[in-house]
Amino acid sequence: MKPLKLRQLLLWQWPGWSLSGLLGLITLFSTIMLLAYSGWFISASALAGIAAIQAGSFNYMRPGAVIRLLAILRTAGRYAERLQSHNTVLKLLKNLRVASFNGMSQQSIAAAAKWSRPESGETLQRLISDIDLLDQFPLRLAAPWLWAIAIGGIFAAALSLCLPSSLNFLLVILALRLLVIPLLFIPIGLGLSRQEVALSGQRRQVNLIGLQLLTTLLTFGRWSDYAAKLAATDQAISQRQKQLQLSVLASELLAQCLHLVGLMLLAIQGSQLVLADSLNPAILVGLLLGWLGLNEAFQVLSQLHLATGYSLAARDRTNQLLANSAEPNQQSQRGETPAPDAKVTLKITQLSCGFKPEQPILAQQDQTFEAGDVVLLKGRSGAGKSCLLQTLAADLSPLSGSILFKGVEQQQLAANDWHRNVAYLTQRPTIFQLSIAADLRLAAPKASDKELVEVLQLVGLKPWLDKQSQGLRTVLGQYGVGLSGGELRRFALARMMLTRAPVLLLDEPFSGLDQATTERLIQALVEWQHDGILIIASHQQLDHLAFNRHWSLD
Amino acid sequence: MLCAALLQLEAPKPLLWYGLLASFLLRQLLLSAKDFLAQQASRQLRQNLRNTLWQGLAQLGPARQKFGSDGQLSSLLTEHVDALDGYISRYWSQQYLVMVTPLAIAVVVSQHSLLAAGLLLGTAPLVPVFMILVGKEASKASSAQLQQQSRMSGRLYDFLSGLSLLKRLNAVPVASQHLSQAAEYYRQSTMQVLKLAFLSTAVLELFSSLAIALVALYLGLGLLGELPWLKQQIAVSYPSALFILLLAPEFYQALRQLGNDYHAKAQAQSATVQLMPLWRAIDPATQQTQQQQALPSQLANTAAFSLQLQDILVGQAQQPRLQLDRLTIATGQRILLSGPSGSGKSTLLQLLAGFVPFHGQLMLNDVSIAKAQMPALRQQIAYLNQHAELMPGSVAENLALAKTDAQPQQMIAVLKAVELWDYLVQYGGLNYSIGEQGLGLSGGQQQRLAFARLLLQPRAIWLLDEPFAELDQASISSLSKVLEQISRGKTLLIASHQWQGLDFVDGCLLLEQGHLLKQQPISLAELKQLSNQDQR
Repeated sequence: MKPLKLRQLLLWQWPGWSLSGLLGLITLFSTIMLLAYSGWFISASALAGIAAIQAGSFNYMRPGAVIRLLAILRTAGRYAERLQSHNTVLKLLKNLRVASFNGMSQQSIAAAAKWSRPESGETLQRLISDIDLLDQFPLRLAAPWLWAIAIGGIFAAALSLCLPSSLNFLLVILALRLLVIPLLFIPIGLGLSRQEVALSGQRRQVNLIGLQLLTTLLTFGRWSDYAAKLAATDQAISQRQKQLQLSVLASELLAQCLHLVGLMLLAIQGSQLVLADSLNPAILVGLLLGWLGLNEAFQVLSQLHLATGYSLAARDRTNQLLANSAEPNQQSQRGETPAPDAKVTLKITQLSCGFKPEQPILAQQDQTFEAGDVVLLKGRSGAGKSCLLQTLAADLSPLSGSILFKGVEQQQLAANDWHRNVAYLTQRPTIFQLSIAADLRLAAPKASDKELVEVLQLVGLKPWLDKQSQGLRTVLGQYGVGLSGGELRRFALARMMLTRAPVLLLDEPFSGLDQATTERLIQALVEWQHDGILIIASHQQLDHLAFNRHWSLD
Repeated sequence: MLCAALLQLEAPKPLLWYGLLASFLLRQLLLSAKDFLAQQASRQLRQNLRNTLWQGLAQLGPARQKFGSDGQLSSLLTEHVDALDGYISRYWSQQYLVMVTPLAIAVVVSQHSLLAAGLLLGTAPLVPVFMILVGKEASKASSAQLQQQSRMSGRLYDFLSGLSLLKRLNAVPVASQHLSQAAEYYRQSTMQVLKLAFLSTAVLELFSSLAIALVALYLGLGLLGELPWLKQQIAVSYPSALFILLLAPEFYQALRQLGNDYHAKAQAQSATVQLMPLWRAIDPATQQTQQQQALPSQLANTAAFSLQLQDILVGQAQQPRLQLDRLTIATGQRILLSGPSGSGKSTLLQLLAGFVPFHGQLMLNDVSIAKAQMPALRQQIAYLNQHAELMPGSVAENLALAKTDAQPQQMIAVLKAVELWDYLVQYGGLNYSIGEQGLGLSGGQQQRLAFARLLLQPRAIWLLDEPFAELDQASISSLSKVLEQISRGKTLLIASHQWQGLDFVDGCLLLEQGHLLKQQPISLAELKQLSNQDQR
């Protein structure tokens, strides 16, 4: 997957962002205009005085209506803008999640297996939360900046109509506030926020290691050193945060001074014009109040460099997550498929396997299995059972030798096709936070409810299912019902059976189950798999009659 | 006043310009100072809190595990503490400002126009109503939103951590569909909640803009003499009118700000809920640290200890976690602690290691140890639990934790003693690198390395808490042989739920529900007999 660009965040949802941008603009405009127009109205009224009304020369109905309209626009605009922007953000986050998932799913099984280890959970969680942080870019950076530019432009247009003599000078001030100051501070913000993010990662590391080693450090009398180290990183982070805040305050102060200069300039030049009787003083009051009101739109700009820093940091870490999965899946280019009606066979010749080429764990295996074979794979712990199964399942590449399914070499088959034919149940079962039916249908999307119940019946989970109040629709996992260790194993087994793969590889499927249940399960599995090959690895003493082949690794 | 002068076509006095300049700058500087101080306070507070929690965790030692895994605890210390920031630096001060500022403004405005002040204050009773509305609705919505968001990321987390399975099942497209469906559903339901929640802020906004509009109209019409009840008269003078107009938005500004900062409070609240159990548990413990004392001098240079415990009570008297009337363990005795989980084995070991507050008396070589001396007692004790505590880095670095100035020869000697050297020497010896969570060494090898560390800093008392719990049978039998060799001459207490390979112990203590079943150690054979009887 290509690395993520911040620009993309806006492009993905551009209609949504445009609408919310427009609504925000209307709100800001009404807010400023409400003040400016009211100022003009009061001044004009004062100017006109009682006499004007009597003479009928001052129509106060229209300004009154405009003021009410502006007030309503401002309220409605704010409400609609907030709804629209949240709607868009939620859509954006959805896109980001789906895109990251799709990007990461391109990695190989061996690389993906890393994420299922409990200890990488923390890293994964942190990287995922960075995805949520990316909404900072449209919300805190792009939108406020564009609004400020638009509002500034409108003000400049009004100025060119009423007070053209101050236009040039005020344009300079606007440019300074909108472009130069943010650009000036962005390098500082970038540097500091990158440092802060890096230090935070470091602090987390120090924290975690310190906790993991806590009792050791305490008993070895090394704890105070470590606590000092932690306090020091904490202090360093605090220092960066302080500097960041100071940079925000400095940018704010600078901006406010500029704003003040603008105000003075407007007032001085305007008052000269008023005194020369070429400008209506009420309009000048309106302009002055408008200029003061602009501050509301501009205030967020002093945080711009902060938002830039954080969004870029979040982008980089999200890309890091995606880069981990950058290894292309070359297997998908292989086109051969085994004949559907060919006899199911699994042939292994001269196979040696291991995790590292220089350290083969298992060498020179020769076996041929045919449909109907029920194989018991035996070996003491560490003999290489799991390694062998992973190689057969194509999670690991063989170090040498070959594996043929229906006469087709593993390497010649696309990974998807191999998985469709050779299914592998690992020792550690995984379930997802989905409904029972949805979880099972991951393996067989088209399976009917009846089929699902049947397969649960086969693994002996029917009584368990009957106890669930919502039946197949009951949600599993953290937010739903729990399963005991044995139930979990059988559930995972049922799901794998649903793939109806001709070859089933089961790694210690019966640990934690009693003798009677184990025997029933073996019976059910053998019947299910009578047209295919069943390979069961176990260190338990299984002397079921159904096993017609024994494969010992010792 | 500036405008008033202009209106009368007079040149404003220079003093007015200076006044404007000064007040503008002063306002900005004061605001900056307020922000700076608030955030400085927040930084300081968070740093202190983190420090306190960290110190407290150290006091809890292995008992910290009841508050979560180390990963969760480190999140508590970092992210959760930082989540308090918005509350401390923004919300807290704002909730006072929101009472003071509108009142002050109303008072000032009333000096110029009672009616305008009345208009502002007329909407003021709505302020508490809206405080409650904004509070309830916004916090409901934002906590619902936070929950939804975490559920959505939860699903991504779920699928990513099960990615290898999804690939094996060829279920990646289905999962991807689930992900986007769930997100879509969450979006819709979240929007429903937000629609209601934003209504309260919108109404607030409405009042703010209506107040400005009303005040402006009243002032304008007043200046025109068109007020229905005050025809042909000027109600409020022009400078006052402008002054009131400028203050009207400020009247609501504080409240609007409070509404905006509300999510900071919600965030802090959810963080506090998670921090609270830990905070409660460590609060008294931190006080103890201030009065740590050294061990009595006659114990400082002794190499062997006997242990005597008298009238020990941990927990409450009605439901003790551990209660021992009298127990003596002689110098150099190796004792197995046995009993079902929760029977008090770990509590006894943690007590001796100084991690558990207790009543009663503990004596070493007949010298009584005061409670304040318990942390110092750790210097004489080696404590190991089921999971070997290793740091990412080389084997040498891990050994140096026990002895900073250990020579390579010494390190190799202890590694040989635990039968780890023959393996390490093939892959870089002392420089063999261990990843996070001990990656690169098997569970049994990690325990061996932890044993080797104990040998570098010779301690007279060894407390081992289920050191074999996570190992397979083969590792246990070879490791227990090593343990037998290296623990000779030490006072050893080992808690274990299995006895394989532990025939070398001098006696066993059988615990049940915090009590000793037999007051003195029994032999392993007797223990086996007892437990067989139980099963029948």
